[in-house]
Amino acid sequence: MRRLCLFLSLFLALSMSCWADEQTVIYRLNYNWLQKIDVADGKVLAERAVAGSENSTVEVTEHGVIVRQGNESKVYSKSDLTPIDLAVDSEKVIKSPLEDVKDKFTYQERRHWLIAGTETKIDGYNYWFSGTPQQIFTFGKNKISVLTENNLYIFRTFPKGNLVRKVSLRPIFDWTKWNNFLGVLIVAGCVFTCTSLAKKGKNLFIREIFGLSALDEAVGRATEMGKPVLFVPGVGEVDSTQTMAALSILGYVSDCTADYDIPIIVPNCSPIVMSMAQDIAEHAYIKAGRPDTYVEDYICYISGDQFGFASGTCGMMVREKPAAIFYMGTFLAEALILAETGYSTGAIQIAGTASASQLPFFVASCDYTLIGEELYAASAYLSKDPEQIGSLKGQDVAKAIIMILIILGVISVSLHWTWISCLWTVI
Amino acid sequence: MIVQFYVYPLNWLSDLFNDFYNIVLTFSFILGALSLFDVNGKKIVQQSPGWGYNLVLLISLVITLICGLFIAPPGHLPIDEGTAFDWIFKYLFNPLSGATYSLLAFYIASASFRAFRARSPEATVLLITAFLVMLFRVPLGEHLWHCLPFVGQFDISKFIEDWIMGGFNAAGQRAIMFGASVGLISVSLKILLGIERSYLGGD
Amino acid sequence: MIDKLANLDRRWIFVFLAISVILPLIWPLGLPVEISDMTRKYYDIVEKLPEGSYVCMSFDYGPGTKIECHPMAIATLHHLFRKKCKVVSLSLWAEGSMFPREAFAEVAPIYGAKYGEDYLELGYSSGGEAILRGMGEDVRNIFPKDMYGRPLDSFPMMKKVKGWNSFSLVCSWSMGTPGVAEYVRVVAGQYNRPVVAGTTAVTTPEAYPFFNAHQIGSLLGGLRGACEYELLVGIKNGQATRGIESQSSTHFFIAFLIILANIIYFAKRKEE
Repeated sequence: MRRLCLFLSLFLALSMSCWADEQTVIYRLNYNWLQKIDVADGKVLAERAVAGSENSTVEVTEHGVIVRQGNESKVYSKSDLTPIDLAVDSEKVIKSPLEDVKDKFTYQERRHWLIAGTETKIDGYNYWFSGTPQQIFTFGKNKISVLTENNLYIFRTFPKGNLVRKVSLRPIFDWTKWNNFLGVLIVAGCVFTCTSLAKKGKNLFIREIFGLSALDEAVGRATEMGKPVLFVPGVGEVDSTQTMAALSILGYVSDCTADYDIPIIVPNCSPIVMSMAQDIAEHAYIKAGRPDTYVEDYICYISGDQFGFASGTCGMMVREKPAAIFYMGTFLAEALILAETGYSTGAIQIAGTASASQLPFFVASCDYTLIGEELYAASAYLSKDPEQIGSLKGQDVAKAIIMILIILGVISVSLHWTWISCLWTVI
Repeated sequence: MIVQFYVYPLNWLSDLFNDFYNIVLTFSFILGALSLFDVNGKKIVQQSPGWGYNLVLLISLVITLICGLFIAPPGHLPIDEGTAFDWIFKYLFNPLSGATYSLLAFYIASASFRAFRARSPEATVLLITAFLVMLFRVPLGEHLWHCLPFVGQFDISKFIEDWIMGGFNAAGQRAIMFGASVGLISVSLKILLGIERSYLGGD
Repeated sequence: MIDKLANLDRRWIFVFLAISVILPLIWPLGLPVEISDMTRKYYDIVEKLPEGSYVCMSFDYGPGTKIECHPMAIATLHHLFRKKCKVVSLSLWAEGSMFPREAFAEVAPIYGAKYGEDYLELGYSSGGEAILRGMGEDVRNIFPKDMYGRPLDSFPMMKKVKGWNSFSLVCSWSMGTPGVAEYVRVVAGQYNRPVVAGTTAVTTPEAYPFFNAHQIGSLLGGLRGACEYELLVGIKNGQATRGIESQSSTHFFIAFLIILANIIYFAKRKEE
């Protein structure tokens, strides 16, 4: 709890502090010029005219900006121009606009501008849309101006003095991701709380996961038949959490096979996963006092290509004829090829993956299937470690909170409660 | 990596760690190649049953490596169009991958024949949905549907797209995604905090 | 009879399946294909692009799924080049890096598009989502050179390209991970760029939640989606259009197998 408070206070302190940030190019309409301003570290490096002169006219249309000079005209489309920030005096701050894009696919945009502080050196702002000048306001403290859809806005400032400099400040913490951060805090909080409760000895109920309960049965079957066990850790790399979960299950399975003195075969799609699997299996067999049963060549790298891997693994299945096959981890299109080949060998098959597109194939071909989070729950379920079981309960609590939030979200959007539906804004 | 996602001044850490990961991954391919040579080489030396296939594997590995790294016409990269590597990719790798992927069609047919039985009400609902989606998302099915009296006027493909795919399917996919994502956060936290250590292979 | 059917050797199933795939290829039925709303939306999104827009195309599929995803890419290229859009291609899959070259070689000469002026290949870089994040501010952070080793700044079209904000549309054709989900998280989520996707039929259900949440503009699903889009763009006798009839007959055959299996199941249950 103390650590949590310390972390929160540190985070709040950091988030309040700001630093000057580099700014990129701004396009600005200045009288009859379309001007390009390069700004870095709060200083204007260069201002140069892109187009226009004292005799030219600048017109803003829904497609972009048209600069006309005499009989010539040039169009600068929307994609050429970055949304303009308001140029202010260096002492004053304008925060970046928070964009609320309604339907970006029809190029309709809606922006909320947040203006902070009083701009003593700026007389006011004009903006154009569709060629008609409109004045928003002159000064404002934290004034929000909601602009309408389907228009390109070009702002023109009327500085009282000649000084035009831009400083854009933003806080250290990315506030656009606040609801994402809150979500992580909620989930982490649930996991930590339940883990502490479990450590204190509280009995936490976990329902039976049939696929995991059948692991022992499958290894036992292999022992009776005197055949090896095949474990496929999927095609994911080591950075995939599914692969890590699969390797945790491999630890348990290799402990079982080591105890029963039967070899384990682990074909791999990634060299790093292969070396981790070799470590896990070797340690299990050494711990069980059966180092001679461990065959390093059985834990090998097949191919980085999914179909090459599937072909090689199918070949291993047909040649070695394992009695039990486990598919745990990330699987793509090769899932059914593996599962059907495994079925044809007569082995008992247990699969577990969070790749939703492959679950139906595993359900159709395998005897037991761990769906989604059951794969992640496997390590806790198998080890029966109180800490890990606590984290599993924490997961469930977090899911319950998500369910409540979903219901609230549906209600708030249905009743047009926009003040609360911002919680569900996709970042 | 978690902190850099939320804190602006640390965003550069993501690129740095990504570079580290790419370097380690690249070197790990050497490890993979050595494993391939070791395992297959032993089988060739011992002349185990089917050692010819192991020899083919090693030869094709070496040839592809040499073609991809060294063999190129002057002024061209080894992976340019018309090179040996390009030929291997177009006329060996592509057809072989396509052939392996096409096995799925046959396996789906045999799996469907074996597993899709109306054993329970849920299985029956699954079957009916599978029929609707399989039969009426293809031109032949749509054509036959429109030939039916009365019901033929009803737009079945819109019903499938909006209600089945966009409604029931999307809800189910989201549920699995939510569950898997929460599980992912939990497992990641456990790994980061050292609660979960079984993947390391030690006690 | 029931027992014989119940113990049917699966090789007979394979034989009949092969026949159902091959026959429509030899004798096409020529059935009309109804265009779905989703494909129409995809078409409209591309059609609404202003001329000269920059579009990023991501070829995240391998040779196995080329038959589903490549026709989508070809049809989209036809559409984009017709609108004189500039196309930058990349790949998050190693195998996918060779497909842009094939696609551009097929389509670019028809519209007189030139490499470096109208289209460019960035190639492949490993890292998945990290690559997309790295490209966010500047593409050159990840791809300082094109696929053939030439600096990006030496190409006229790349002068206007900085990061993701330079692109008016991002197209992702994927068969798995990394793919659509990564583009949704980074490009659509962080940089707020319009993303459209084309997926294999197996991974289309996974992409539907993104479509419903408006995180992707539209979705082409499998061979059917590719066929519909080919017809909308006006490609006659495209690869997907030729294959869709095989898919029709195969689906009907599998449906027949399922019915047969259930008849056998209920017959056996009745016997017991």
